[in-house]
Amino acid sequence: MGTLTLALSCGDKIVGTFYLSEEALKYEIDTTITSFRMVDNHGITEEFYLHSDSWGTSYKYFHEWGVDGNAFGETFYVKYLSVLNDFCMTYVLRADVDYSELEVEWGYKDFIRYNFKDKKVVFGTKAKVKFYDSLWVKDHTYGRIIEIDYTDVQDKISEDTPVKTFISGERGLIKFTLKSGVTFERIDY
Amino acid sequence: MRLKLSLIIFSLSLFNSCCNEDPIETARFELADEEISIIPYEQGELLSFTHSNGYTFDIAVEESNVRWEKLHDFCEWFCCPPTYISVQTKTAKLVSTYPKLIFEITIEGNSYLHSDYKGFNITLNNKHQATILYNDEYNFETDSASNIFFYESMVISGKNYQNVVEKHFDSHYYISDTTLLLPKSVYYNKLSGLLMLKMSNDETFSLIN
Repeated sequence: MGTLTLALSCGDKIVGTFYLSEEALKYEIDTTITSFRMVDNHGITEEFYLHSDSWGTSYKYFHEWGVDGNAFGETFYVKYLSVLNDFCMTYVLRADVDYSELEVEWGYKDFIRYNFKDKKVVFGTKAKVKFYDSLWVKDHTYGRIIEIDYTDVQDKISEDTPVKTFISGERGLIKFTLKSGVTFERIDY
Repeated sequence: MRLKLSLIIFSLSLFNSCCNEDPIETARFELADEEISIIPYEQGELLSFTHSNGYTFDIAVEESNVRWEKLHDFCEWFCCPPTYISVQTKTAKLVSTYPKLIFEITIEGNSYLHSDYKGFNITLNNKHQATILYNDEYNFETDSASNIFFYESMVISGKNYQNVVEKHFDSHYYISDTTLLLPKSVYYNKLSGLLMLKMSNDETFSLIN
């Protein structure tokens, strides 16, 4: 759990470096895959690419709490953008003091924050989140699947947020379905 | 340091506020009727398009207008009276729900790009930009240096169109990787406007009405 030297009682400062949990690390997407194509159920191809933010191509870094340089949490951050339809999905794994969280956001509008320790969505629109071993998409089996399902709360999400999103913790976004029923599936493994 | 900065800002605002003279128009660039007709859309119009794999969808003309714009140069903060130029502009905005396409087509009265040519802009999703040139007689010509190709006639979605210009996109803002699947070119004529969008994998979105 890192160089944990903290006092957590009320009013005390958090000091230390906190790393992603073993479970969260399983979902650290391969960032050498910088782009991939998906096709929708009408045969329209769309390309997604990994966005480089101001900190360049380092997708893993330590987020500082406060400004005194005493506490840092390991963070894995990727953002996928699409060329034609301007889709934008942000995917974050974040270490806190004694737990790790997953955050998935679509289009700067709807997001979920899932706590790996409590095994539930702790913030954002309450989607169902499931984890399973594999999913077959367009002739390929993808591993370490995260399924985010807004079906029961779809009246609370934007038109641009998929009702269902499937992410491979190994290879990234692999499938999603919009409210309109348009479904994208990955064609580049 | 902060005091100096405040004094400078104060002096500038004082200077600016001292000028009570009316702004002066120093030039006026009006579009010719032929230029206005290069963008042949009416607000509220609905266009049908089809993707090369068969999906059809509507593109709505959300906006089509001609207006005058005042362009101030940087001098407006220091010159008294302030000056500006007036530029007549025609803009059309074409929007589809899915695929999510927003075309903005703009022609301006002062759009001389080369010595012999003027041009108008087509922007897709605020990201992909193409400038189509036209000559003094408001016609399109092939200019391979600018990736502009003129066809006297061309069949698109089974319909024959005359005087079609193909223009490759000039730039893709925020995208540096040109191996991505990008919008490659637009096909356009003066009578019907946007005829086709071609992607770099040769998939197309074509006008069908």
